[in-house]
This record gives sequence, C-alpha cells and structure tokens, in this order.
Amino acid sequence: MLERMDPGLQVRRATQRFDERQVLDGVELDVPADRVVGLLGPNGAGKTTLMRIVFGVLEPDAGEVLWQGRPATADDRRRWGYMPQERGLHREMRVHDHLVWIARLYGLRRPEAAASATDLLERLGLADRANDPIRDLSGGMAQRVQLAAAMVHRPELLVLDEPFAGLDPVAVEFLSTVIRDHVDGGGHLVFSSHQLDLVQHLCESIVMIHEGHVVLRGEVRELRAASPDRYLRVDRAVDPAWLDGLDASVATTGESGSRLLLRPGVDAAAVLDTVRRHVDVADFAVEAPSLSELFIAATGRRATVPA
Amino acid sequence: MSARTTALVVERELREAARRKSVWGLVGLIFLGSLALVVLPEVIPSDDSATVALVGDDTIGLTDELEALTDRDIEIEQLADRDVAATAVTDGDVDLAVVMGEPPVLVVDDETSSLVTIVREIVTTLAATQAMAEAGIDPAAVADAFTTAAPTVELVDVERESRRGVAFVLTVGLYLVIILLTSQVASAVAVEKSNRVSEVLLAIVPPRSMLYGKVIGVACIGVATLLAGIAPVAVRYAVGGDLPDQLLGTLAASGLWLVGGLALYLTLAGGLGAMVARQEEVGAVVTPLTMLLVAGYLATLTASDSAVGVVLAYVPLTSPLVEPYRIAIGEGSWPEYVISLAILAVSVVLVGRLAAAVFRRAIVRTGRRLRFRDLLGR
Repeated sequence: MLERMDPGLQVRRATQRFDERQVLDGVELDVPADRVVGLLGPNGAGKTTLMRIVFGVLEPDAGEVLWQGRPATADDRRRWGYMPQERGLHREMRVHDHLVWIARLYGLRRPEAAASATDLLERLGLADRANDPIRDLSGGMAQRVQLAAAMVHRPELLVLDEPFAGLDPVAVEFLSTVIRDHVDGGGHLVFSSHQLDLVQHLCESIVMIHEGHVVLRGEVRELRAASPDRYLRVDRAVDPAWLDGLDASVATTGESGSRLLLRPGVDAAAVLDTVRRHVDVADFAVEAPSLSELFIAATGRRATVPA
Repeated sequence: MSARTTALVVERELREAARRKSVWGLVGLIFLGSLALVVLPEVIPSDDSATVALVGDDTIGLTDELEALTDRDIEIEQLADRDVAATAVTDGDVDLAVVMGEPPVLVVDDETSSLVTIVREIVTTLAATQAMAEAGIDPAAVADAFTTAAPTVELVDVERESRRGVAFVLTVGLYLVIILLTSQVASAVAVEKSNRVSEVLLAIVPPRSMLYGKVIGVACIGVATLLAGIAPVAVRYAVGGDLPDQLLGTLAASGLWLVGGLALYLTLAGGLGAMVARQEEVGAVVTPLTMLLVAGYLATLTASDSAVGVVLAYVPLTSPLVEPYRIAIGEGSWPEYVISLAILAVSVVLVGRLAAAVFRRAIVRTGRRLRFRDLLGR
C-alpha cells in the first residue's frame, strides 16, 4: 500500500488561517484511484476550505496539493471536476447551454461539449429538461445539473462538497450510484459530508476532520473493526438505570430502538439478558461502531450538528 | 488560456443578454424614443404657421408684407368687426387680429408671443411709411431710411451655443452610461458570489478572466443600448447634412474616454461587488464610487473651462467626463488630450490589476462583508 501505481490526489500539511481562526492545521488527504474517499466532519470543520485549496481557489498559508506525485498545475485542475455545496450555477441559463459553456471553459470544443452534455443529461435523467432555465428545476434536479456541470468534461478526479445535503432517499441512492460508477470506471473521487452515518456504506476510505485537525483516517472497514468498542443494538427504548452495575452505557435510545456501548471485554449476552428482564426484545445485534460513533470516540463530541 | 476563457465569459454575457426580453425592451424603448425625437418635428405641423385676421380695409399693404415673410407661414383671414375678431382670438380660431384704423389696433391674447412682436413691427413700419408719404416724403426714401436705420446683428462665435449644447448632452449621456453600468457590474458580481457560481468558475477560470469578462460583457451591452439611442439622431444629421461642426470628431474622441472610463469604473465596481456577502449590500459598497462619479459630473458641467477643469482633465476618475466636454467646447490642446488619455490608460491597467486582486481574494470569503483590511497582507 505504500507504493501505489496511481497516487492520485494528495494534499500535504494543508494549513489555513482566517483572521484569528485556525481553519486547517496540517491536514493530509489522499485520494487514490478506485476508492470512494469521504472527507467527513461536522459543519465548520474545514472541509470546504480544504476543497477550495485543492482547486487552487484558495492559496493555503502552508501545504501543497499533488497530482500523480507532483505539484498540481492549472492544466491538471482542468481535468478535475468540482461541485460546490449549495448552488453554483447561473440560474437564468438553460440546462444544456450551461453545461456546454462549462465544458468549453474546461477546454472542450463546442461540438464535443454539446455531445458530452447531451449524453450526461440522458444518463442523469434530465434529457427532457435540457432547454429549461435552471431556476425552473426542483432542488433535486438542480443538484443533478450541478453534478453534471462537474462531470461534463469527463474529469479524472471528482470533488463533491456536501453532495448529499438536502437530498431525499431516492436522490441519495441515485447519487451514490453515480459516485460508485465513477470510481468503478477508474476515476478518482472525494466527497465531503457532515452526515456521517448516511455515507457510511458508500465510503471506502475516510479522513475525518474536526476543528481543522484530522481526528481519524483510514479504511472504513478496518477502522470499524479495529475499534475496541462494540455496540449492542436492540429494538426497544432502554432506561439507563437498567444497566447499573454493568460495564455498558446507553449511547442513544428512543422508541425506534437503542444502541448500548459495551466496554471492551464485556459479555454482550449478559447485557442483552439484563435488558430482556425489562422489555421483550425482538431484534438485536452486536455491531462495530458507526462512523459517527467513531467520531465521538475520537473527539468526545457529538458528530452531527443540527443544520 | 486566459484570453480564451475571458472570451467565453463575454460570450455568455452577450448570449444571455440577447435572450432577456428586458434587454430588448430597453434597447427598443431607447431606439423608439430617439426616433420619435427625430421624426416627430418633421411630421407634426410646425408652430411657425399662424392665422392673422384683418378687420377693415388693408390700406397699408399688410397682407403683402405678411405673405412675403419667409420664416413664417401666415394665413390671412378677413373678419367683420373688432368684436368678432376678439371672439376669434379668444377661441383660438385666429392667433391675432389687426383692426385697421388710425392708429391700427392689435387684438391679441398673449402680448409676449413672437408673432405679436413681428406683426407689431411690420404694422408700425407700414403705418409710419404711409404717414410720412402722406406728409410729402418720398416713400422710397422712407423705406430706405428704415432699412439703413435698423441695426444688423452680428453673432460672435456662432458655434458657441451649439458646442455647449453638444457638450451638455454628451456629458449627461456618458455619466448615465457609466453610473448605470457601474451598479450593474457590482450587483452581477455580488449575485454570482452569493449563489456560488464564482466558486465553480474560479476552479477553472482565472479570476481576472471572470472580472474582465463580466466588465467587457456588461459594457458591450450598455454601449449597444447607447448606440440604439444615437443611431436615429446620427442618421438624421447625416441625411440632413447639418451636422454641428466637429461633432463627429468630438464623438469619436468621447468614445475613447468612454471606453477608458468604463474600464476603470467597471473593474473597480467588480472588485467592490466581490466584497459583499449579500446582494443587498451592493449599494453600500459602490456608493463611494458613484459619489465620485456624481462629483465628476457636476464638476464637468460647472468647471470644465476653468483651471479646476484643466486639473480634472488629467485625473483618471474625472477625465472620462471632463475631457469629452472640453473637446466639445473647444478647450484644451492636443498635448493635454494625449497625456490625459495616456494617464487614463495606465490607470486602467493598474486599477484592473488591483481590482482583480481584490476580486480574487474577496470572492471566496463569504459570510460577511469584507473590509479592505481583510484583503491586504496576503
């Protein structure tokens, strides 16, 4: 794993201050090919700033951005695609026109740009809205156009800032498929999210940042397996008082179920028996920590901040 | 790459503007307004025609004299008596009535009208001539005496007034174009910043391409609108052949300062527009710029031919208004024009760089309005 054939994008020691605030402090990010990389952390952690540095929109106080092992140039960046958080399109422009314009800015000739835009709109299910102004589209559709704008020049690297924010479950599924396809096709991809559990199944590799520092990084599967913590999931609400005397605590609880944090070496069956003395449990499991639980363990804070 | 991307940004501005009905509406409105100004005076009967009523026998030959007037088209009507004439004047059926007699009486409803002055003078001359002839003086000698006695008027600097008129219209036009487009660029930049278009673009387009592209695009649309307003007037003068002297030269020179002035003010406006967090704040940041323009405009109209005007002709923020005015009224000299234009050109380059630097730093700093202090140092 040390010597990759395709190192892809590498950010080294990115450091950024705004006024008195340290936004990034020596953050490192690796986006090799064939991996869906998640840049995770609560709102305000510095994710967007890092992405702006990747694209050269911001000049960092220190640190560098490498592409295939050497400092990234403007030409390299023209082969990347960026989707910022929120909007990022001229709302009065028509969908197809906008995509063609963006593709031409990336350096494509007009006919290629038009063909690519048409093809992409077809793939994203927007073909029948090609001549509508973007302001007439619903939020989910506008999001797809935004995604199309980042992909219209067939980039080698896709950088998506909070692509899942505000999407309904169908749209989340759709976007996950597009992300998967891009990576399966040999592309590089990193996306940011503050909804850690929503993207847990999609990420293969993560960098978790908090207040400008990396608090956790690595392969999701390995990180979860390596954690000494285990959680007992039961489908009933649990009163913390029931666990008195056991080396376990209630992480979350509610009518839809509870997650009980088991200290290393605790017998999960004994804890389950204790709970079953109070309520009937129909569904339960012992699980590795979720990404948000890993985040809490690493920072001692709650991961999700209300939007 | 930067020229190509700038061209693409300009192309988008123009294409989207061409799609907007409001743009065509404005161009059409200005064109029609200008056309109306040119055409209406030609088709509407001019004020110069008038009806004069006579009461009694025209013993002094007034009819012949009035009909002989070349710059007035006067119709003569015979009425029965003074009262009928008075009613006709009151009702507006005739503009004026002359009741013959000794002395003749002019029945009018507006003593100050130029027609009254003209008719009164003619009647006086004719009546006096007749009286002197009756007293035995040779009518030819009388007519001769009247002709030689009337002072002739000689206008010094006949073009002065028309030059001032041209200069005034020019200044108002330049001022309006610059101030309107300044606000337009600032708010367009602020909108693109607030809806994050700039963020996507910055990843692929150099900041100066975004700024210059926006400036050039907006300026082209503004100037095209201006041309739609100028075209009917230009055609009218070109066809009519009575162009005020040196108008074409003045317009061409103004074009140079207009381009320079737009480049200067619009790039500054773009830089300022990038500093706001929300579009509503645009007014506040461009106010210093528009105040400068208003001050320059007032100074141009009041002081262009004074010593202050000479100084302002070299100051790049005022020269785009002052210098066209001075050229229009025939002030200044070639060295002054060349130096003024050179200073303006250099300023455009320097300010362009400054504005691009402000733009580049400000466009990604969202959340609150920025101060210049925030952008310095790095």
